[in-house]
Amino acid sequence: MTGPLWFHLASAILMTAVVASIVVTWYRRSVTRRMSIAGSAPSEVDSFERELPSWRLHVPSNPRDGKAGHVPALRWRAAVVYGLGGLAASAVMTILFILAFGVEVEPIRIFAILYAYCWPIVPTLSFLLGQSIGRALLAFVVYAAVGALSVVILSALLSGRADAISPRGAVGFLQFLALQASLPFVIILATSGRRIRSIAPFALAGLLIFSFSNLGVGYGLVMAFDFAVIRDSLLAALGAFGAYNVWYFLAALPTGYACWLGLRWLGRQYERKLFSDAQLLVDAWWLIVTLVFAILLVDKIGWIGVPLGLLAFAAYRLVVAAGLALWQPSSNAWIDNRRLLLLRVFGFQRRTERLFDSVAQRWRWVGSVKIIAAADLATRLIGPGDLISFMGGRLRQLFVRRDHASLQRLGELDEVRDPDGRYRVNKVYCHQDSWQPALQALLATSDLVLMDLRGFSEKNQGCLFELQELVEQDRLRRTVFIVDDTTDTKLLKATLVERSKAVHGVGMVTDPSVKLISAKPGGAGDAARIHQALLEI
Amino acid sequence: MGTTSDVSSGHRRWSDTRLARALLFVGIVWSITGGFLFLLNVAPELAALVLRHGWVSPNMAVDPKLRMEAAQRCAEPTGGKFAIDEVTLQRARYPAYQLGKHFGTAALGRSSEIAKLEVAQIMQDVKRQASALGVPTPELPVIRHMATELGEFSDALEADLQCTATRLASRYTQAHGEIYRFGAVIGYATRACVQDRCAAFGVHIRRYGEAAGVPERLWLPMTWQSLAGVPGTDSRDKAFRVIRELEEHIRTGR
Repeated sequence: MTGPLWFHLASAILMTAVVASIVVTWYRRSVTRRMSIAGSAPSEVDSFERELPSWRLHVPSNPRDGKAGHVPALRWRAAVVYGLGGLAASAVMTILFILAFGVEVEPIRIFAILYAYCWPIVPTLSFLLGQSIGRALLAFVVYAAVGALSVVILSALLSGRADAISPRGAVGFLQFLALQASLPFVIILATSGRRIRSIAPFALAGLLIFSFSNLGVGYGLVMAFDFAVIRDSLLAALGAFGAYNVWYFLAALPTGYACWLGLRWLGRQYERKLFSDAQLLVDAWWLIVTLVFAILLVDKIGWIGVPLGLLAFAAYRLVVAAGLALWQPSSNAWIDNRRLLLLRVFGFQRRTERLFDSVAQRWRWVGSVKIIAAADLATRLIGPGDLISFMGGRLRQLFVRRDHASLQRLGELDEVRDPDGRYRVNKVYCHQDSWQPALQALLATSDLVLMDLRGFSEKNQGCLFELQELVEQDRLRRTVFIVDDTTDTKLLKATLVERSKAVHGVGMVTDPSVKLISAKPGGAGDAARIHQALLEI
Repeated sequence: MGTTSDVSSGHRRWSDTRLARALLFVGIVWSITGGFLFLLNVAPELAALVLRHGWVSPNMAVDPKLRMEAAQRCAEPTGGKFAIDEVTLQRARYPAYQLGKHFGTAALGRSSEIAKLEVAQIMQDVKRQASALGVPTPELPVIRHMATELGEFSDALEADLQCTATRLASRYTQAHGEIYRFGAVIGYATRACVQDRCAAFGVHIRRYGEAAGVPERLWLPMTWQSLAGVPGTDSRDKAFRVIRELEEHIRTGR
């Protein structure tokens, strides 16, 4: 009975991994191609050039306390709310499991089942709080060990005998945990690779609907074959194999359109800031966990297991929504935004991705991040909105051109926290002829700049322009430079000195406020030091 | 940098037209559907392949709960079993097979909605054979959907609603119950085998053939994709040759 359900779940997950990879590759190529072309007509450029200088008068917001002291409170809030949400889902799953499988109600059993079903809280919190995969796995091992130990101790306490301490309960608990967690854990790992993580939850949502709709489509074909007229005409015209496949291809169009509408709706909710990208990802994880649980229920209690199992997801989402709505941080903490502009030498994809993951993602608790989008960060930057535009053939509209509308867009970047407390990454897509004015506009609306100059040399004309603009807009004191052995520091110094003299009439040679952080060649650098250096500005 | 331009020239771009977007949509949806259908077509083929070749147990192809429920429902009070000598047991194998084969033939005849009178006559034979063996007469299962008739028939065999197979197993031996089921599958598959489409039943033929203790060489050709390797003038001739040899073995034990 559950065979088709497992098959359609597995199909959706497998297809998510494939589709997400293809989309990301396709997106990267499209972005690269569009970046290399000019995007504006001369008439548009004129008005753009007239308006841009006024941006330079735009004074960045005042420096904050420099400590970002509210960040721990915001992270704590997210952890508590998501922990409670997870606990609610686990409670629902525990009750359903006990009822469906006729488990004898004993405190120790209830504790063991509840604790085991809480396992997704560990990857959820690890991800939301920006822990590395290594630390997340370690946390999971600790979680399992604590559970096993608690079962042993509780068993002894409840029996009232010290000699009742036995590893049997712990082994049973670990077996149960492995049975319940292994499959969804593997699925989560498969759909959470950094390469596809930014669009996997979105793709998974659409493909789950598509795949399970095909369950209905297949059943429709089975029903249709009961009618001799349909059966005979289909078989006569197309044969068994043809009829079967053509049926699915035809049914895919309305199903696909419904999925598309669903995804657009989801994209609109994201644009309306009802959830963040991180929230969407952990929601997808919980959906997978509860779907797997629902299918296990179906095996025991029939199809009613699907809606009952999904009740756990509803409980999780309700508690999270209520928790985030009710627990409002102080207004100062909520609106404090230290806007970071991330600049880098193009062409070092892996290194840039690591810098983005370790520094920019972490910074999102402190302030918004701005970045000029390019192929090197495509896998990190594509979000639900971009995906909808891209798949809808509207990638061109995401690009900044040298026109009034684009300039206006640059002034209306997202500077508000998402419900989970993090700011978003504002990526700006630029054409060959629009990136320089876009950079000037971004600099004018940023509080801090992080510039990765590893691999910098005179070939990097774009970086030279950016350095000159940093001087011209007087941002050197608010900039952290990442350098390593591959950085042409002499050229860096010469560029800054020369430009400083030209603009201000003085050099910066002795200016101690220029922050250089030396990082390992090719590595992500010391993320903590970089983060601290940014906070101290 | 490149010299290409994306500058709008006043004309609407082809990629921005409704038609282009509709085509893009159809392309994406059908690509995904193609991938999905690939899985949908390949997964059962792969499963059938590994089951037919016996790389995994053919028992995995059936729902174990059906047989467990049948065992509970059909359980006889102790004392139902009586001592039967080896000769009688051997002699009962062929009638058990015939009972199944006739039952399978009748089931196939009814699902194909032809020769109702013939089906009734076959069921009379089934009744007579069941009575001779001292087991309940099986009733033709209600097939709900034509497209899933094979699955429904094999589920009905497992579920053993009238307890025919279970009684055969308890009165004679476990193998007698399996021989009955084996015969039912052979009867149900005969028409497909004659059209050289035996492989559709390969998993069930292997499952019950193995359980009934019928030598593999006798039923193995019926699990192949084609009967091409069997001597004979055409597929009909080949199919009947295989079935004849099978029946000869069950009848004589040689």
